[in-house]
Amino acid sequence: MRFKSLKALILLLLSGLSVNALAIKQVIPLKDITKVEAVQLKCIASEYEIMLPIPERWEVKKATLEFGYYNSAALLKRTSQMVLGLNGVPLSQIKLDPLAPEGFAEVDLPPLLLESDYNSFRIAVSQHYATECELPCMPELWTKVMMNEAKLKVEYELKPVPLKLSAVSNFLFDPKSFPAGNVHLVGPNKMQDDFLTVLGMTTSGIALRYDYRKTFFTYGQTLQQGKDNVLLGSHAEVNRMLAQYDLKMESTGPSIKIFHLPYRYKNTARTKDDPEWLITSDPRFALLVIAGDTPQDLKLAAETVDIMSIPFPHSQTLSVREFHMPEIALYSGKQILLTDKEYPFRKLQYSTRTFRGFNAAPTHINFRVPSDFMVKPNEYVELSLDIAYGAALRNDSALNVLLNEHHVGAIHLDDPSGAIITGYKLRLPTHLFRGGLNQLSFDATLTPFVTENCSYVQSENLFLTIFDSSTILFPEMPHRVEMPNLGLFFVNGFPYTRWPDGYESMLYLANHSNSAISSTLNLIGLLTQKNGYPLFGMELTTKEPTNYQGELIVVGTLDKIPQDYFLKAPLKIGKEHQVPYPVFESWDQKQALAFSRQVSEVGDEQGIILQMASPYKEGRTMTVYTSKEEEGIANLSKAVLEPSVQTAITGDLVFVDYVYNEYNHKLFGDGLDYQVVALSAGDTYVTGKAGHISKPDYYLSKDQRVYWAALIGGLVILSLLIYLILRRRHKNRS
Amino acid sequence: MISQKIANGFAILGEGSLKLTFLVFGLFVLYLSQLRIPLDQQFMLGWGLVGVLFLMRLTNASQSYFGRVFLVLIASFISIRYFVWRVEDTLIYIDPLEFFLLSVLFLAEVDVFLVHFVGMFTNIWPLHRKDELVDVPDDKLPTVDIFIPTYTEPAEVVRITATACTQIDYPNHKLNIHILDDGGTEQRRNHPTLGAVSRHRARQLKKIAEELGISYITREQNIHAKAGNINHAMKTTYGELILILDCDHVPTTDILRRTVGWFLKDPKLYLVQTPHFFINPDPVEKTIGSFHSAPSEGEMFYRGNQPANDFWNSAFFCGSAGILRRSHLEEVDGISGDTITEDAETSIKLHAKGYNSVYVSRPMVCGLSAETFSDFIIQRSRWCQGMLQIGLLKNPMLNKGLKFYQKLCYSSSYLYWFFGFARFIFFVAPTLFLLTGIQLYHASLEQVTAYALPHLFASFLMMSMLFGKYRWPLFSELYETVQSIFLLPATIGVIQNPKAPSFVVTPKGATLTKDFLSPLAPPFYIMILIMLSSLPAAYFKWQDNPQLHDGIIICTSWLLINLCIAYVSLGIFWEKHQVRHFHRAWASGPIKVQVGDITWNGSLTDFSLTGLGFHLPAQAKVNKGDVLQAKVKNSQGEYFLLPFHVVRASPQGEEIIVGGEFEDPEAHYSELVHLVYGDSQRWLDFWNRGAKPPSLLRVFFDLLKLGMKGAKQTTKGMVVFFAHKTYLFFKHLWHLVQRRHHEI
Repeated sequence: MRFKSLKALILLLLSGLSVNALAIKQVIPLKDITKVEAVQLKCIASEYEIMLPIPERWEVKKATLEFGYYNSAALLKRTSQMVLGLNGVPLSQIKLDPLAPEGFAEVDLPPLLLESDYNSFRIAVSQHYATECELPCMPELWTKVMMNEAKLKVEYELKPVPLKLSAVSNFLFDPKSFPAGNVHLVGPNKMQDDFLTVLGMTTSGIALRYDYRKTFFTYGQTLQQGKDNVLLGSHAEVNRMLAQYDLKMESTGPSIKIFHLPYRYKNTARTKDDPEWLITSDPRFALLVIAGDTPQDLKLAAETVDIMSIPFPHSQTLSVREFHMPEIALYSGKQILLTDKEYPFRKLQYSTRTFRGFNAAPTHINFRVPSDFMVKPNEYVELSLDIAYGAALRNDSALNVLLNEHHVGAIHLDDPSGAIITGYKLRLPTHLFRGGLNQLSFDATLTPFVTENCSYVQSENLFLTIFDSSTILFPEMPHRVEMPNLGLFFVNGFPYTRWPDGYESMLYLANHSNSAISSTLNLIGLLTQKNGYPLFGMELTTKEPTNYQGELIVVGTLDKIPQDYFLKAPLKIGKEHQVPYPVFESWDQKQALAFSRQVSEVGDEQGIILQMASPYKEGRTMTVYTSKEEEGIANLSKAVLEPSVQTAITGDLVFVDYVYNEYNHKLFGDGLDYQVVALSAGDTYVTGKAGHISKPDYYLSKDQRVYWAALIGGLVILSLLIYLILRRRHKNRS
Repeated sequence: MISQKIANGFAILGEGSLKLTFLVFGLFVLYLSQLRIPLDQQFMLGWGLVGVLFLMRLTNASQSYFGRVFLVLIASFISIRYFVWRVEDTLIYIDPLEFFLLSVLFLAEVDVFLVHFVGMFTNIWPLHRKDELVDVPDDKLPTVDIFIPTYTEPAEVVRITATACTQIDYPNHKLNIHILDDGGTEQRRNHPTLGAVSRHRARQLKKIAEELGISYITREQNIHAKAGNINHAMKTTYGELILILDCDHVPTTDILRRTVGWFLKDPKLYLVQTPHFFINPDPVEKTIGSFHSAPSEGEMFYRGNQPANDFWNSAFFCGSAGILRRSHLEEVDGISGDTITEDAETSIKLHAKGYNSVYVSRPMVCGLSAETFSDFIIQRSRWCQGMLQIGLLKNPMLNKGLKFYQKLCYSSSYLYWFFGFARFIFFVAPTLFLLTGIQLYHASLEQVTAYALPHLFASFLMMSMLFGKYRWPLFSELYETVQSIFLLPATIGVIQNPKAPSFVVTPKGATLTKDFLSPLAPPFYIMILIMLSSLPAAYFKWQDNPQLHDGIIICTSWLLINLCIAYVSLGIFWEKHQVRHFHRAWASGPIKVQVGDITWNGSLTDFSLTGLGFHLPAQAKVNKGDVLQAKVKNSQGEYFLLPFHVVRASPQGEEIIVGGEFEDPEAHYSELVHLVYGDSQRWLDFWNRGAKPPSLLRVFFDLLKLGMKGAKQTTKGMVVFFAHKTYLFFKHLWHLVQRRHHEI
């Protein structure tokens, strides 16, 4: 017996060692990790910064960043160079050679310098075309760095997961994990809607922890290796599963517990008495167990996991007693600016920024406005800027303000003595903003006072600070938008996230397989990340909703979706399909559509997204994710996680196909790409603040002809009545 | 007529059901007017409805009353949509000062909107009564007192009116004429400085009264001005009806025969008001030379508004040319005097007591307009202050006795007089934005195009439809603009202290010996200079503020319109000389002139108490200095033989234009008064002279041409004015230097 135990221990240690010693190598396009672009560095000195995330659970062994660049052929090699630095430490210096204007940089990022956080990688250039008598911003002074094509080669090992529930907030579901998060959820095969809703809620909470990072969810009845697992169910159900791995959930009531991910492996060195399967655990991944004996208990436990946003508690187990969410208001989701409320920049995750030198990189503030804002052309957003700038700036220095990459305003830095200005007002028309995500950028152009040829150019005085006490104020704006508009869905999940917790929304799964559930969970994750708030209020169901009065999402294969749903759809699918084909390019796409009734087949892999008015309630919306096969839906649910696909989705009808992209293949080794075709082909309708408008309002504003008819009719009858009243009076008076 | 048939179908509805149905559809249309639709749809809606208005106007559909009602509803709908949008979308708080100014502009718009809106409904069906002479035996006619209140006007002016009164066709024993002289009261006669003049004038008036066999009444003190004067006279007179005539309002002979009949028909009638007709152009008409070609400013009120008020039993007393029933008037203690528009105030009281009024739309008095721009402004300031007093002190909406439509009519009348405030604000708003950046109107170009412009066009079309016959396009803008800056202090004054304004008599019968620049010109010119300076500001703003392009386009367009109107107004401040003591009255019809042995048939063009003008065939050998005799017939078939000498004879084509002065007019004074002022048909012919309103563009260019002329005159005047001031300054300086030198 002792020998057996020893043997098992040795095997376990060996297997553990082998697991720990398993370093992971990845080559990842930098664009999949962080937002990068091809950038042109101009003037005699310029720099560009990117933030490289390193997750908590990685122990980096080796990292290399590779990128190409082009420099001006007019540069002077002796004095022109590119300096690459990590977290303030110069790593490499590259001469910018005019005779070799196309270069390639391969920089080793020392693991010691890489912190488990966002690491600043800076590319700084100093560029000269002459040794003396040089103008600082000659057009010839440039280097273009192709960061959009850059790759990060990284080799790392995963640290053991600490068996503390605090790991949920800062270790397991970490947005710094790249290129994507992977989570497997485990539950019963057949489930009630209550359980499904809790499953969606859990997914939503995990997706929220991952923040902006693309996350793939899968669902099944067994544990999966190589990723974190979440097991949900009653105590009996989870203990049945845990018992297979000699584990147990001791607590009762709504409770949560974290384990290292257990697994069974075949005993290859077994003797007669040895078991065929041995049990061990992979400390690199976690098994999070969420248990509750009643649907309410389970929900309570799931909600608690969802809100674990700070590293507490350090215990392995947690029993939940009660749970309260803060009051939420309509349109109060992630980064959303409420109207008529002044926001200091610091509340928008902006910290005071000082621009220095020539061509300092711009700074950005990202925020969202509700997707259904009815943008009125005569209203203004007020920016109140607190700034300070240095002395001895030339008169052509300015701070430019850009909104969504378009110039919208500027501050002339025209005081040669420098100045500190508080409350500089800039009024930006609201129509320049777009529903959903917006980016406000500040770009300083600072020029020294003395720039004459052959004079010493002093660039050390080029300062400009924008303080985080600056504010932005949106005016009161009504909510009213013309639908369908799938673009809004991919901006912030509108209209399903009008209430940030998904209240008054339902997701209907027409197919009930694990694959279909996985696809649905991916969608929920996406919605949550767009919305920035856990979808506690969204209902999930496997039963066909009849007469549902809220916003509806339907996920399922074409054969499982009720045919009635397609009556108002832009693409009518049935025995005969009615397909819209754009015939020519037109400003009004609907005018250019031809409709074909046909008997044909939808491709096995083709994903289709449709959005239309709900069949049950005016002003409400139904969005359908469908494909011919479940695999198609799975692929679609993954495709829509790609930013390039999201950007291309507009209108009310979207076809997603999977194509081979040779450029991607050559550059990054992965040729999979998506071809998205988006159309506006269906009837439009209007939705307002509460999600619906009165029937008369709806019909009258939907169709101008109805309005005209009602108006002329009303006016004629009213005229007749007035005429009659006046005629009677006239008889009496004359 | 389908509409007629449908209307007849509705006619079976009882009063209650009709009103209920009206309410339901009214609410429905109101609901439609506030429904928010996308901007492109609003653009189509706004301009589509303007198109409907325009087409209906072109096809004369507006001639029928049903068409008129329909058009009014369409225009109201456009305007209500504009206002809903204006309230919901454009009233934005930025900072206290801007919001205050923005609110002021909005208030100005609200006033204009209310006047326009209420005006459309009150003017929807003007009542044109049958114009007929009373047909009852003389002994059944009521007794009438004619009151001619006067204060400081020249005695000669009163003499004409009193003489004409004696010629009124009415039984002598039923008619008593009284000169009510407030200039000759004991208070004034004993005044240390005014006494001598007052005594002299009183003697003149007494003499006139004696000569004409009428009565002269005065009192001890000038209490309550004109109202007090009339009320005092009421205590000593007994006629059943009282005709009140301003002393420069010369009546025609038929004024009583065409009015007293209404009193016999309706015992509850307290007033028959007739129009005021003016023989001379006001300063604006004089400047732009439109007196003979375009309707006068007063015509809109007397031919448009008063018949419309009459439909609503709201025609009100206008201070003169009105016949009142003494018994009803006594019930309200005579003419009221709490405000300086005693006429309207009295009417409100009598209407509130349930009495009726009638408006007879035939001019039967002939008066004098203010001669100079300053006098014109004095007159308008009094009207403005008086009507605003009505609104502030006697608010018709709060008067329980008035019917709701009477409240609306009276409210419309007093709200109109805020136009000085409104026009001034409209004048300065774009300048304020362009010069200081204060934005008073938060709207994009697209919104202005979709909401504001259709509203403006619809209002303009409706004005043209309702009042086009009586008011040419752009004339209102011109009149109101030139008055605005001067009425603003009067408006503010009366708002600050509604009881403060006192009655100021409009100077009449003045003669101007030379052209001169009105003393009121400088503030207006300064305003124009400020507006002009906004144009370069607009340019620089355009360069510096790309996000404000919409606002700059809107304000600059607005400013240019303001400048055009101001430019046309320039000449109004250049007062033209007026040498005639008696104004020539327009005349038409045949005239026979004896030249030697031949009697030539000519056509009459004008005459006055001192002379006449006519055309003769060129063959008539008429020379300056010839003494001739003319034979003229009036509409009543009476012939007048008038000896005159020729003072002007100028051939023109196949005609010769002759001007003559009567030989010894004093000897024929009574006859001449009868000829010149006695025939109401002639005033009616002048009104109906059939001048068709020209197109908007034509009027615009004509006015611009006139503006150019006015600008030239004004520039010349300004140069002379400043040269004179400079001369006076140096002269004064020279005197000072000399005095100093002398002292040393």
